[in-house]
Amino acid sequence: MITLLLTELIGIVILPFLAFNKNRYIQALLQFINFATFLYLFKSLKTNGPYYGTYFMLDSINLILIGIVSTIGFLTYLYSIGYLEKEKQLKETKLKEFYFWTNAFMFSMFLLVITSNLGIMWVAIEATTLSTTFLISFYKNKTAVEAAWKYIMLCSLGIALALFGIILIYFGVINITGAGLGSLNWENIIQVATNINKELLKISFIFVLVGFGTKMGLAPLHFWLPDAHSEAPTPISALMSSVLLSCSFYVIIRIFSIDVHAGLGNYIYHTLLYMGLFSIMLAAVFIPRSKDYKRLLAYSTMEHMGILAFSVGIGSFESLFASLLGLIAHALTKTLMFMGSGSILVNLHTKSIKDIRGLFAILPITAFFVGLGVFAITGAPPFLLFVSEFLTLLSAFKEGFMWQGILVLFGFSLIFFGFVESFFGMLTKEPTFSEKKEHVFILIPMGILLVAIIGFGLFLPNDIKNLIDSAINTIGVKR
Amino acid sequence: MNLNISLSEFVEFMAALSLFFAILQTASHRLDFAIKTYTFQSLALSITMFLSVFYYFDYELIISAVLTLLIKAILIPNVMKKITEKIVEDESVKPFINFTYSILICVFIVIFSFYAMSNTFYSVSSSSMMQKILAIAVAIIFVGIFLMFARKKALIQVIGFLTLENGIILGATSTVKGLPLIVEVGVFFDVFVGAIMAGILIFHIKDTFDSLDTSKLSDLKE
Repeated sequence: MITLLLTELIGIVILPFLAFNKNRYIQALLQFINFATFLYLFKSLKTNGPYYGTYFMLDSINLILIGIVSTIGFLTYLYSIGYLEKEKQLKETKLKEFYFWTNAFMFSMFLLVITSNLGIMWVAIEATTLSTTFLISFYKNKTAVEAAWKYIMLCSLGIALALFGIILIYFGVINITGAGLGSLNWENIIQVATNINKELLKISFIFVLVGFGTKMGLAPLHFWLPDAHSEAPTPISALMSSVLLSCSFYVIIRIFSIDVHAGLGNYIYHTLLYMGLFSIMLAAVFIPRSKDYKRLLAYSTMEHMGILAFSVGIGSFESLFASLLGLIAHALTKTLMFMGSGSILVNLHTKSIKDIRGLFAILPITAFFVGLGVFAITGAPPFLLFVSEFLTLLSAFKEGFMWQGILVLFGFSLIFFGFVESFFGMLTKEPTFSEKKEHVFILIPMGILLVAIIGFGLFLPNDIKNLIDSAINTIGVKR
Repeated sequence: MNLNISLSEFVEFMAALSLFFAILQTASHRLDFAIKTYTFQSLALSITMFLSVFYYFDYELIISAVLTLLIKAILIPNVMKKITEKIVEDESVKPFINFTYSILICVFIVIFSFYAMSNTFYSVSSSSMMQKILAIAVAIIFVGIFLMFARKKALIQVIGFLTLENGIILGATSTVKGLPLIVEVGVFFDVFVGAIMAGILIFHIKDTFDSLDTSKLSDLKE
């Protein structure tokens, strides 16, 4: 597991010594090692079962996350080779800066998902905020600096509140087991969960949800999200949207699981459910109005995070399955869409939807990927996200959340029309630019992702199904 | 036992002093004054933590107290000072909420915190000192949040965040006798790096917007 952290450190250390042209290939290779490590860990979990240590742990919940971080990380680094090739105007030092912060970002995310200690988890998630700030302000223009400022202030504020929540949990635990590093260990807390003071857990859950919910972009706390996603360089937008937000969701799930084991009941479920519902509805209002396609995708990220929270809030086995599957589907699909939008941005240098027409003539292959991606991201069959969204709605109706389910369905259709209107306007009609050359490293990762979401959508491998099943059993189902 | 009681009173007094400096922040309109107030506030926090060692007999707290002193009372204020020296302060930025109302709001925050904590934590806290300090900590947290939202100047917002963070550390000291050392060191590291990065970002804001007024950051809208 340490390999995951080491590769990122090596990536940072070699940066000053190598010319950028060689460097970017080596960086991608290092990420491939991480991907291979993930496959190895997958196998070892299957044969050896979960492992809970003082500092690190490996069980089915965080294996899903390790999978997402390493896969998307590898594909994004591959994509960056082509993306930065197109950004010729940037200086060599600037490009090295890009890789420095990106590696620091990946390092903190790997630390976040493999640590077993809630305190270290907090340190890691704050580190992700810090390492992405300068990536958001990367282009140093007015809007980028503004987005970075909003991001660092709001997220630091939120995460500081989450620290208070974690301290409250720790307070509850040391009354039972005594002070020490072990009392922040997730596995230890789960074992004594039923004895922790319930009032304390309730207050702590609010703090944690407000804190990590800010980072995850749940509705009333989402203000930084569209700005940051639209201003960051596109590989970073993809990483933030599909990996960073999933990691915040992961921390919420860990703490949610403690509360489930403690038997807090409907209180936690309903909080999550309505926050999710609100996020979906807000996204449904903003998506048809967006004039900037990266912002539009950012709002769609908010929608997906809303669906995740909503389906966890329902609390049945199917809905949790839908949520974890949705996590994987969101990561793959959103990365595809951001990569597509990045290819458009880097060739045409505009983010405005109405300035772009006739993409099929300008960037034919990108246009093909984006066209299919629009259906994938709005949850149309045969793509993977369809399975997750369909299961969410089904379990909502089954568990008696009638009007909530209907509202979500209404939100989905608004979002679908918003997407189709904006993107098909961009794809068809008279081209507004002449044909541009597409870089092969921009296309390869998009192709891989498209094959993955169609393949998994039609046929979900048993290994993944079992992994999600056992993750749900670890989290705990509503009683 | 007599010694113990007077000690606990002194700890409470120091904690209250750091709340006082936090409230004083809301009345500061000049950057150097704000930084000085923050220094004193961190100093009071670090003395509180140091004295708590003799109350709880938990020696890991000494390291936390020394770290607080080094990072929050010496390093961060110095970095901030360096930043403000380079930025020429030529404008008076009107706050969203003026100073008189700010003090009034802070009074309500303090009353609310003491009221809320006296009810909620009655069942779980073991000592009355713990409870009082926790109430003070929560009050500092809210004052920090208030500073972040009620002030337009970028640097004062950063100090608001640092105040909030001080409140959380004070809360951790009073309730759980400080977090485990490795976590605490991580928290200090993050806060330190965060403060420096926010400082650098303030430079960029000054460069691109030619002002420290964050209400001018309004290009990104739907």
